[in-house]
Amino acid sequence: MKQLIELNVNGIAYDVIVSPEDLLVDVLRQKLGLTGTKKGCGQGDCGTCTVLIDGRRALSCLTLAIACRGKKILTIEGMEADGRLHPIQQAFIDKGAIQCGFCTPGMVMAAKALLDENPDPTVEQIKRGLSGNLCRCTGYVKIVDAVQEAARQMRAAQSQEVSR
Amino acid sequence: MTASESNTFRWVGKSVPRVDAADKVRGRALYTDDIVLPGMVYAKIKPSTIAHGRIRRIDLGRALQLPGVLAAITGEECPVPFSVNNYKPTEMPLAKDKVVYYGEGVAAVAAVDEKTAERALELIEVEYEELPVLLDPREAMARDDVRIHDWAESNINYEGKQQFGDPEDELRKSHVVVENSFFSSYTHCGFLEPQSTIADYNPGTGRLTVYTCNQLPHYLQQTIARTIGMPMEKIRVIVPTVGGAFGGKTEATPACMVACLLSRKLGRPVKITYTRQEVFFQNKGRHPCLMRMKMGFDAQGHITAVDFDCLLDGGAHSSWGFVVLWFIAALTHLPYKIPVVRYRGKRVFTNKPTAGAQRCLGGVQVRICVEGLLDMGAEKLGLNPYEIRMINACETGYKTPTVIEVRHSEFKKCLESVARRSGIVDKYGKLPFGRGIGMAGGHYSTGGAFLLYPSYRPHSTANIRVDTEAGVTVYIGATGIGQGAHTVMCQMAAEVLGIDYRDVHLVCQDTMLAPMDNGTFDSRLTYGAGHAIKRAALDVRAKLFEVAAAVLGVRRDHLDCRDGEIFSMYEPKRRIPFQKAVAQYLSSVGPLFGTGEYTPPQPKGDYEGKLIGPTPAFGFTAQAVELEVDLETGKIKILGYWEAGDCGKPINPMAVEGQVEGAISMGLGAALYEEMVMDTEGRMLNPNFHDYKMPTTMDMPDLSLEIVDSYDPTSAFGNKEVGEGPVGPVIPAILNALYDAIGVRFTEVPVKPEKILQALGKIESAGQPRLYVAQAPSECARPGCAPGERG
Amino acid sequence: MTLPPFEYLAPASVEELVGLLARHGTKARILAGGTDLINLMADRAVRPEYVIDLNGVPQLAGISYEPGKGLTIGAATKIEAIEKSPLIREKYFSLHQAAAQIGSPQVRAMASIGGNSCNASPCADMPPPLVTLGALVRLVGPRGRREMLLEDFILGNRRTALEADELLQSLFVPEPWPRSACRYATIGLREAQEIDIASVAVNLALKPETGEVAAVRIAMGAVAPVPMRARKAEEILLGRRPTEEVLQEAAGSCGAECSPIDDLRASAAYRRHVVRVLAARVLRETLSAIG
Repeated sequence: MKQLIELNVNGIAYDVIVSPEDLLVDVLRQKLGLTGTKKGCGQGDCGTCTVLIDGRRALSCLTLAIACRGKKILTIEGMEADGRLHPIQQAFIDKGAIQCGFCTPGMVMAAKALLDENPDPTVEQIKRGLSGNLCRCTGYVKIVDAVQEAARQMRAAQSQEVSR
Repeated sequence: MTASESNTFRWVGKSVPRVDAADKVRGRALYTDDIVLPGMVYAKIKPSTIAHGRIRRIDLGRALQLPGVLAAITGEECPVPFSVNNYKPTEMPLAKDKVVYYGEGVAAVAAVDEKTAERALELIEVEYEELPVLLDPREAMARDDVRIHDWAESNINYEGKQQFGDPEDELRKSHVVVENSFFSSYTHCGFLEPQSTIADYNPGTGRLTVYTCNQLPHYLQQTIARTIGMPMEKIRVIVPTVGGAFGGKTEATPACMVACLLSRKLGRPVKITYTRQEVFFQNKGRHPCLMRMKMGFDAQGHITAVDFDCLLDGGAHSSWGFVVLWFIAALTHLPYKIPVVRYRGKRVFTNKPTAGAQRCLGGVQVRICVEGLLDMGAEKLGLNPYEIRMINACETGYKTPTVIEVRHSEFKKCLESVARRSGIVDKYGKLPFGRGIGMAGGHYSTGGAFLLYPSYRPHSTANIRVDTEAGVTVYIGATGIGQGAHTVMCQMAAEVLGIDYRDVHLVCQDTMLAPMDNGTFDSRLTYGAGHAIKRAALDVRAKLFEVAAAVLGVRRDHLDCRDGEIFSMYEPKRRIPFQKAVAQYLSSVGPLFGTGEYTPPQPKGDYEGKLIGPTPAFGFTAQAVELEVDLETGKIKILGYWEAGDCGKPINPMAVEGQVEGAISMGLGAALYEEMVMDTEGRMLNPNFHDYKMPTTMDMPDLSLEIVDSYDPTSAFGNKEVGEGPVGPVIPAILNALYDAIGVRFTEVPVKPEKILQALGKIESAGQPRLYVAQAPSECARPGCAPGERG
Repeated sequence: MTLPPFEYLAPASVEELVGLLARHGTKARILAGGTDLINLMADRAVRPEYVIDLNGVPQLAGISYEPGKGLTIGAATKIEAIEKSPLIREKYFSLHQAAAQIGSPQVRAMASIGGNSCNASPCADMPPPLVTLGALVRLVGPRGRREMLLEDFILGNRRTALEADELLQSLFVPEPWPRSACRYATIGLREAQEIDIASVAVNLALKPETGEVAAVRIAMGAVAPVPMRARKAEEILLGRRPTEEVLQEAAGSCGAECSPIDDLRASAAYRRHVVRVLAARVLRETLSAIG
């Protein structure tokens, strides 16, 4: 039975008509036009559909849209602010961590969740934090470099804030 | 242009950020499935539920009655077989009369949304008459009573032989002869973006626009024209951002053809996107090969001859077919000097998802054999793995017995570099039991890939338009698939024109707007497009300099350009901004265009398969790996990994590293755990990413890479390939290291832990190698078993 | 793949949830993390008419510990919470290890301990250590409450004693034995996102004066339809000083007792062998942890 629900995505409240069986990844991509979140496998194995729901990692291909009422969803489109890229995004560009780019949105979201929990991760912790995101192009080397760089930038910005 | 001149490059050789990175990291890059067109409907394909059989009946009745269903078709709609090279094609948009692999499409529906289309598929009734399923190519060759393709004389798709000299005689005379049988596995390209197509037929204009992630838009355009029966000029192929391809997107998918047919029927856009399972069924990954190779050496360790028999398991359809067969032949001749070679290849049909072209096509198979035999020979000769390779390594100027010539090579530098950094000479044979070190070399073609139809037209053409409305726009058919093609093309154009690489606009991968390009395969793009772009840019520059010279009051040949300005080299004060010179040109002369093209040299010589393999340049690589085996569990831990590559002058070193890192990860997966597994009925047991295992972040060892100093003077900017070659040495380096570690020479992959324990005698051997077929239909073939095993 | 249609229900309390189960029973499925259920529905392996989302029932999630009594974990508690709980790390380390092993960071954030237990996949990670810790499942339904050992709750490959109208409300893990430790290890082909080829959980206590094994439970995963107790191995250890020789004997028995299958992930022979290896390693690790 179709229902009208409100979904809060990237700070914007959307009114969407969904059937209970609609998956969040499909609602984001097809109903809200937010195609940054990708669908690589539909089974939760590749991580390209990763979004944050109330700050926690979620595979949107295994999440029902209807179960997301009242929650705050963050997708890749919500990472930039006022036309400025998030430090994680900038680091990905600067470190050459992007090749075909299909895994990139999911990687960035997973990296955000990681750095939100742990602003100073070791390389092992970064690898573990991204272990749910497959990449066939990069061998992950520059992705790990980028997350390290982003962590550095974010810690520096944070201590600048504090000292102000 | 010399090597030393190249050190003054402004953009070439710089690790600049990619031009498409920002869009990708913002989630703004549009991949095919992201695109929505007004009036668009969705199509789905019904897969076969058997691996081999005749279609007795298909009933679309109930499906057509479902509200929201707009059309439904079967193989009768378009019983025209197609393949990328149009030689003995077998695959059709939808199977007609018989299915030859599990998951082959037999019917399709178009509906207002995906849900309805899926529901409609459930209502389609299909009856099959099952036929025996042939999974092993050896069996398929032997069975005259079971013909996979009715029109074929046998299940042998293609056979070929190349012989240079008399290998039997040479081997008889050789000081040492080694031989072995090898098996390369049934792997999948593993790109993360499932293939997707939007076909948009406009009944008013009679034009068909096809958006799809395909590496060879020109061939796709041709294939669509031939298959659905439409003039090529009425078809426009546009390739949006591609989410990985690795050779697996070089061919038209049946889904693409189905989308075109349905769109033409309905007169509105039709989108089909494969599920991950369908991507696996469609396959077009690497050819598993059963190989036997003999190699002879003289007393000094020089290779005297190679005798090579290769049985390619082609799967159900012809696909790249003979190209792979001949590529394997061609790649045998390098990177070591082999004076006498005989190659006999056979490609055989089996009832499995089709094998096609996967990154480093043919190279992976050859390297497993050659690098293994080199080590075996070295052992008998009392040489170490580094010595045997240095003795036989090719150099600049080497001519193989075929038409293949090495016009430039720094392969020895690669070998020397990994040997030094890994310490293999000191460690080999001396590490404690369970720990070992091994190395392997490799190469790959670049700049070549002869047209898959008879023609002498240019392989790459670049048209450059310069004006004040759009600045510099380069029109070139080349297709980016994530390797960084767009960025290096901008770097190259900017280098010649003296402008910022970010100010170059690219119009590419669109068959209407951009001139024909042979496509992205065989690592030809940077080399081929490089020449075309350089020539076109030089053409523009010459025209612009004439006007600039007049404006500045100097001679044309006094001028140079850099950082957006044109200036006299001798009187630097005489300078003019690039855009001003352009504006002047437009008013004084008229439209400003440049054009450039490139075709690789035609190989002379007369033997079967000669057009496949010879290229104007080759990239080279050497790799070494040190590993430790857990003798109780059989698991392998990689302790060190070293690579050195000769890609000529890297246009973008950061991008080169990224390519090498990715190539190594693909090789590692194939060496250790990647394989598609079928049950005895021909059903794939692991058409998903939890049981088809590609490396995760936690599986990658630290890599130590080096780009050796190199410059290929035949190339536009000294550049050669790097996208494919580095996949080749990974498997043999690991197999060679395993021999050093535990004294067992593995000749097939993946080397799973249990194989190691079997070799050590700790568990019972399976007997006949499993050859990727599970012995009995297992529990995991049941839906809901495999996917749910967590959470 | 899209999912087959169903009606979605989101109760706010345990009573409401139980009421819905009573009404819809066999036609309903509980949605916790979704990592299993959604896949099953996409494959059309299950086609419930009702999906009851329990994530809106706060009482079903949470970790609480009563010293001297034991640990109560709400069935809806996320695997990630179990992985990160300092209390569980300190007192029930094998549960931390098992949770850390599951899937990927995303899966751990979504999946629940109840789901992992009720799906009862032979490869599931939480059941083997829970079984060694003597965990109880607490069920609630229209007929009231009942509890039983998790070991008795899991009946076979994806089969449990849960009735169609019952809910797994929580798991109770008793206070650890004095002078004991618990450890868990798995093996797979990759280092992440793996479905175990085999796993072994050990819970072992030593007698303070003699250093003999006072109590021990060993459970093996992915080598039988259920998390299987290695009872003969336990008997070998009980009452004896755990020398390397004794450990090897016990480990050998684990290999002999389990009943692994051949499948695409590994052969039975390999599983049998590697269970022995893992058992010896986990036993050693457990003993060192007791100190």
